[in-house]
Amino acid sequence: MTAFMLEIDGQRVEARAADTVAVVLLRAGIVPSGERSGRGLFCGMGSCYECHAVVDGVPLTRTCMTTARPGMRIWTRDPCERS
Amino acid sequence: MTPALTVIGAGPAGLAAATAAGEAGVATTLIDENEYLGGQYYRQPRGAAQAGAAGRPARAGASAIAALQDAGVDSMPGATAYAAAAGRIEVDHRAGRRTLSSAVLLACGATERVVPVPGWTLPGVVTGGAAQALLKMHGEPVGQRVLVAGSGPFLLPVAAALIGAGAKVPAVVEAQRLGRRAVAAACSSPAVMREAAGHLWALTSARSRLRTGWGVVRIDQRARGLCVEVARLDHTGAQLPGKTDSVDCDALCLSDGFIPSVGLAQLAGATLRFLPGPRTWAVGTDSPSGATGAERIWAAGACVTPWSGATLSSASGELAGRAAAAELGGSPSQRSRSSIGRSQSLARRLERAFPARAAWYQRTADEVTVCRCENVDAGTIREAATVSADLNAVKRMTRAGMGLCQGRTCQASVAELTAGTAGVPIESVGHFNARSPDRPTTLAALAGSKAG
Repeated sequence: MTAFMLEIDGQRVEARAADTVAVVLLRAGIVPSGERSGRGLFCGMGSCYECHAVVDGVPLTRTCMTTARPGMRIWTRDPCERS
Repeated sequence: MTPALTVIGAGPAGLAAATAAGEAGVATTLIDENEYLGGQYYRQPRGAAQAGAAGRPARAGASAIAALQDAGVDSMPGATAYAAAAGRIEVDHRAGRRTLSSAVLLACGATERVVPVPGWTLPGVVTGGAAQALLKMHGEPVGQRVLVAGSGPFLLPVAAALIGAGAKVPAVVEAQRLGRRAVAAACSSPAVMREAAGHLWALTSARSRLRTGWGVVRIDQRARGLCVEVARLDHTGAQLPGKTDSVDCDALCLSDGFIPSVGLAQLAGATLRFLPGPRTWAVGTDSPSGATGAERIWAAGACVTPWSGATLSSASGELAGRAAAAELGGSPSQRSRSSIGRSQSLARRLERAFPARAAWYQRTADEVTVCRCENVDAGTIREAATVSADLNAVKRMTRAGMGLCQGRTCQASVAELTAGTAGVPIESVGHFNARSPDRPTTLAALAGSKAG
């Protein structure tokens, strides 16, 4: 199984080939804090937008519909929190 | 290539529709938001999960996708349609914005109804569909100990698949008191009987309890996982006083039925039709052609019939694809592959056996968040409903339904709370008006867009 690393909220996290970003977050137990406290994967099919994150600089990316790639940078909190 | 027909949604209905149109010689493009074709039911295994045995739905999906390719259909996965008008669709795609000028066949499917209860926004609470997606794509259960609750036949395959992937499912909690109607639906064909029996056998073998006439009333977060309180419901779906029970789990799958996805159909000018059983709105069509009444707009599948299931979706997709092709100068073959009679009667039986219930929303206490995007609670909606029993007035007063999901998640709840407070029939409060863009879209895409 091909594993690779990506960065979530500044931490290095392992992902597997063909993972969605949502399943990486779920496995790592990462839930957004701050403004969006606790919200995460809900509908799992791109309808509810609850799992959105900033992915490689693109806000409002639905993580359940996004395939994880090596070196991807993901920010789960409010985009304005980023310093 | 400029397609003559664009099919939106690559689930069972869209795949069958695009294949039928392609075979009839019509230049057809199939678009879907997902990076992969198949939609929800046909969702294909990915990565390490591919090595495992793919389930029956995934195998059926693989052959539907192969048929699509044989028919010469151009597919565009990863493309989000965010606006539609007669003869034109605006699509946001990795490669940039595209305007497709063509006739449109909508196969947008459905989303799940979830009754808001205290704690439903906690992490670990997901829809049944989310659990299925994780299982089908990655072979992974959403938790180790997972409670499945809500209403409808969809709860059973979710629970059986979780058990199959090694999760413990302490119980399946079904709000309806299943009686003659559910038995009649389950016995409607040998295939349906086999499927239902297989799921029930999986539950029994894993010592998972099927509790009918119960519903989730409250979810609390504990140091380790969730504590879910369930209560007895009467035959109308109202909570009975007294007896409650609590179940510990680390994930909870909720699913109370299906809501057709109608946003693009509304933007395209199609008329919606109220469905009394599911107490919601669907795209109105002429059966079996799928014609919507809006010029050169067709619809098929779960956006028309929420309980259609893959068989009826595929059959209605094929018929609509052939009807569209005939009107667009194609030449569909004489005979269609499928007949819709039997699967249509199953859909009707399921609608009767698992109706949505107004009383479910009594469990939604005033402080419970209903619109998850805009954080609007039930009390705020009830207060607005005392001023106006018009759903769009309530939307304007409260912002419920104005957020990222454009009301797909909360519309049914806001409508039930409004109708319940005002004491009027649910259909009289109406449905949310659709506004373009139907999906959050970048300004860059909109700046180049001609859609108003």
